[in-house]
Amino acid sequence: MNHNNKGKIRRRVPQIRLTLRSAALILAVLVGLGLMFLGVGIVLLADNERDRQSDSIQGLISTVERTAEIAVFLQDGELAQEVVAGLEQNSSVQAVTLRDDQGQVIARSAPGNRGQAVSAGTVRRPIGSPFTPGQIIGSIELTPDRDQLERQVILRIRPAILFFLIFLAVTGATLLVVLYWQITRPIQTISRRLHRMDAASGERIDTPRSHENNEIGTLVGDVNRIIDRMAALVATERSLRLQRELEETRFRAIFDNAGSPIFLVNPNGVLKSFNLAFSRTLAADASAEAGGQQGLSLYSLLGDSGEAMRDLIGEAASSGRPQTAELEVDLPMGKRWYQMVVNPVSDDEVQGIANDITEHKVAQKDAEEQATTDSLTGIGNRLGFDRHLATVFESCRRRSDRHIALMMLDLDHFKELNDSHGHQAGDQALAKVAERLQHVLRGGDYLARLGGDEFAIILDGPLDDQALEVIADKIIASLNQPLQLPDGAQGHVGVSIGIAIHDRREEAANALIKRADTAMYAAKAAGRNTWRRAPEEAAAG
Amino acid sequence: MNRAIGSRHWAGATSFWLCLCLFLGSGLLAASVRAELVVIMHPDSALPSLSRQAIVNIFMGRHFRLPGGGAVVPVDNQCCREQFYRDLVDKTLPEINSYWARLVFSGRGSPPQKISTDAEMLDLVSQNPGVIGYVERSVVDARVTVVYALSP
Repeated sequence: MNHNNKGKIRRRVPQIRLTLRSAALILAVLVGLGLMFLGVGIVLLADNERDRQSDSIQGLISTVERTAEIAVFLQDGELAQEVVAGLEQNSSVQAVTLRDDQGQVIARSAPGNRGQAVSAGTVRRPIGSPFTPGQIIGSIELTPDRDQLERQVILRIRPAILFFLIFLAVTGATLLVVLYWQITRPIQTISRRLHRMDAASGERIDTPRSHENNEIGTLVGDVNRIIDRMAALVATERSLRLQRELEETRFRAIFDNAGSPIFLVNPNGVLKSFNLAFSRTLAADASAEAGGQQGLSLYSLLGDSGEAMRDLIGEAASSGRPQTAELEVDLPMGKRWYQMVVNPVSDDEVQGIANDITEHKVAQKDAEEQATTDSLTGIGNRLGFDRHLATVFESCRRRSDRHIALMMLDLDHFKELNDSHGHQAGDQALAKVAERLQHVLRGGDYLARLGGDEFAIILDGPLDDQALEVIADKIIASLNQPLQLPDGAQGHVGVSIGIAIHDRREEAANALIKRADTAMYAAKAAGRNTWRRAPEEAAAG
Repeated sequence: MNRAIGSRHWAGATSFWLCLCLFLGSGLLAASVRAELVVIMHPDSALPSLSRQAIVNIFMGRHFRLPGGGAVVPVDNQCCREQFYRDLVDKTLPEINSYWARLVFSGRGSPPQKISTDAEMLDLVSQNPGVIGYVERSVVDARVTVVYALSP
């Protein structure tokens, strides 16, 4: 197994890496053991072969011994050479030397095969006389061929090596097949199933056949248990989600179909979501779709009331508590009043409901107007006067540059007119008077009938004495014009006017009224149809 | 040991035991069965006796000279050739013949000349100082010198 091959296989079929690695490990151990045994075998075989060669050498010598004896006996070089040549024919012989009893060489093999050095393993045998037992007449030296020995060893060990290689190949193939079928394939099967399976559907993995009772079967069982648990979890999760979606849909329906505009904004007034009612009313101008158009600003939708809304939402966001305010909004369908309830729901979200309170506001305003209006003349009544005066006083207290003056008027000779022409004429005269007064007065001034023939005017603005006198004169002149009565007659009335200027901030409304009253009586006392100004506020008021 | 291996190759165990029996029994049977052979030379050969080894060397074609230096020619006696080689080197005639055949084939030499009778042998030896031969002791006369006696 070289590395390149292994790498190639790994890249191409990474799925059987486990099999390959296991097989390679086992084969490596087998190769190691095999080489060890082969080594031992070669050593033993070489020993054995050496013995065998040695025996065969001895046999060889024995075969030629007689001739060698004769050759040595006769000191016959030719015969001796023949013996040597014969021995040389044998493949296991490297060198042969024949010597006489003096050590002189009679014949030797041709130098050239492997040199003539007497190497280890050279067999030396004495040669006796062929005719005299016991007489040594020379010796024969025979060197076995070591290369031949090696060749023999290799030749003998070759089948063992071949057998071992076949054994390795068969073992390797068997290992691959067994490991693949027993381990890799079941694991691959399981893995493929896991890849494809939809765990939520409660699918399970089949145990690969014939692995029911082993580790793989146990593994599959465990995996299936986990899958079951997961499937149960997923089912629970799913039903919870469905339930939540249902509830969300319900709430959404409530939200969408609510009659009141409902919206969700961030503290900067950018609308995140709103319902149908919102888009039909507050956002009608922007022709926004219900459900939430991003980037629409609530404050700009509300126009003049935008700032008030910003304050309200800021207050809600900073306090973390719901806030309420009533705002008038100018919409394409007309001015509408909304009660805004805003409720911070998270750090950057405020939820709001706009309740349309226009009807209520109108009714309230009507009632208010009715309560403060004199039904006969259409101007303010006593209650209206009191409220307006209180409002103006409040304003004066806050703003030092605001100035007012109060005129108290009492008609002269009205009782006679009433008595001589009847109540209806009197009423008509009063209405006419109110109309004429209204005509003289400027927009910011307030006119009220306090009762009977008694009127009061709250004059707004910085007025010097001269201006007040001009107004008073105008009023007197206007009222002195004859009044056309219903019965065709002409009526005449005069007016006595008391003027008081509110120039001391600490003075109470009652004190001002009293000073004006006093001035009015002074005018009456002075002969009527004239005016008097209250003196520069006496200390006692 | 080497000797034993050699014997085995030459004759085998049987002939070894046979030889041993013959050797032990020779004393008893000498007078009746076999005559004693003696190696003879011309009296002028100037050697009173030769060693057994020297005789083997001469007759087996190893040496062509006497230990003293004179040339020597061995001659076989047909009358008692078989006994001579048996007593001298303990070999049968076929073995001796095959030995010589080998030498003749390789061109090394030839076996000794053969004389048919004791009388011829005696004549030849007595007339040629360089010749060495053998006869039964009983026929030896004064014309020759016994240089070695082969105990049967």
